[in-house]
Amino acid sequence: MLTPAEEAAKLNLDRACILLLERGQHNLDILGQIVKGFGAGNLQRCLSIQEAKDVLVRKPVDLVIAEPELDGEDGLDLVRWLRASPLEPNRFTSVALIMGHTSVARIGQARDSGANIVIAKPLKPAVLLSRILWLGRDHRPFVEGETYAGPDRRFKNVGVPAGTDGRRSTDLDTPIGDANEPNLGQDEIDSFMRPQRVLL
Amino acid sequence: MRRFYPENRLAQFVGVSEGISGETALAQAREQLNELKEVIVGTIEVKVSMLQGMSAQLNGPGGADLVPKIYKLANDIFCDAGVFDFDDLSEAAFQLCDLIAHWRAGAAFNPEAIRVNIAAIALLADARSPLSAQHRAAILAGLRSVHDKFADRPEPANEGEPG
Repeated sequence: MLTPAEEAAKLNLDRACILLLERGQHNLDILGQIVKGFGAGNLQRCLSIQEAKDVLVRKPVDLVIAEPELDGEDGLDLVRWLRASPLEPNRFTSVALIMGHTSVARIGQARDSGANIVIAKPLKPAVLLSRILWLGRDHRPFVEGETYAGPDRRFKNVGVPAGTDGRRSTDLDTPIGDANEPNLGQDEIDSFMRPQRVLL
Repeated sequence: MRRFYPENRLAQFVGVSEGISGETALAQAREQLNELKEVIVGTIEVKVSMLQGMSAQLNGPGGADLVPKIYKLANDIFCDAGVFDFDDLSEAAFQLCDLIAHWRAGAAFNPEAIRVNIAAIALLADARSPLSAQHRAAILAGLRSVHDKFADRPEPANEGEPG
């Protein structure tokens, strides 16, 4: 089920280039039909990592939706390759992994490969749409280090790990918790940005 | 470590002023998906038949070697049935996957538990069987008991999002 805000949200995927990577034609058809229903006009359908790489080196892609459990291949290798590659803008593109029954350890590997989100199968259109809308609003920083490249994996405001002071200058020493007031409206935010005459 | 804010290219296509609403997108997606329903139901039936064939061979020589194939088929049924809201069939297939995953994690192998799961999947997948909602719920409850009895290690799970 979509939230009322998601039902009302507008999307226009007609010009978006979306890469779909699935295990077998049958699964690719299911995924393709759902995303086509969302109005996507430029679907790049792939059945192997090599096919996906060929697309990613050739054209800008706005979203990747991939099943990592491919026949004889590990789809997470594609995500690692993409994040470590010099391909811009594709190395920053949103990557959603779709996974059937799997283990907690495998989900951790998926996160550490540089994916933005892991979506549990069975693929329900409402869930997939909700996650695509979420990804469109996701403005997490991109992190590039020796062992990881991808969206910042620490994006929930739960504070630094217990018993530590954190590693970043921006780390807070206590959890900030949930907001206890309504969000500011756009007008209120704009009023902060508007130059105003002040008395000195 | 470098930390920066690249453009989110998807943002230019969602939450926009011109386009279709989420509600419309969802309705269209369901319509598109329905075009595949007949084919997928046929595929599920074939996979259930394959599972039944393997079930019969489980106690024979090399029976344990069939388990990865059974897991894969069950995972496919779990995903396909769930897409079309055959939720009880999907859950039964999920229980089988979970049971096998626990054995892979070290619990004792029990072919009878697999066989019971496959029989339940076949019953739930049979469109001609006169099962009431109550019967279906009872089958699932039984499978959960089998799962609880044999899958006693808290390892596998299904869902998660990074972070």
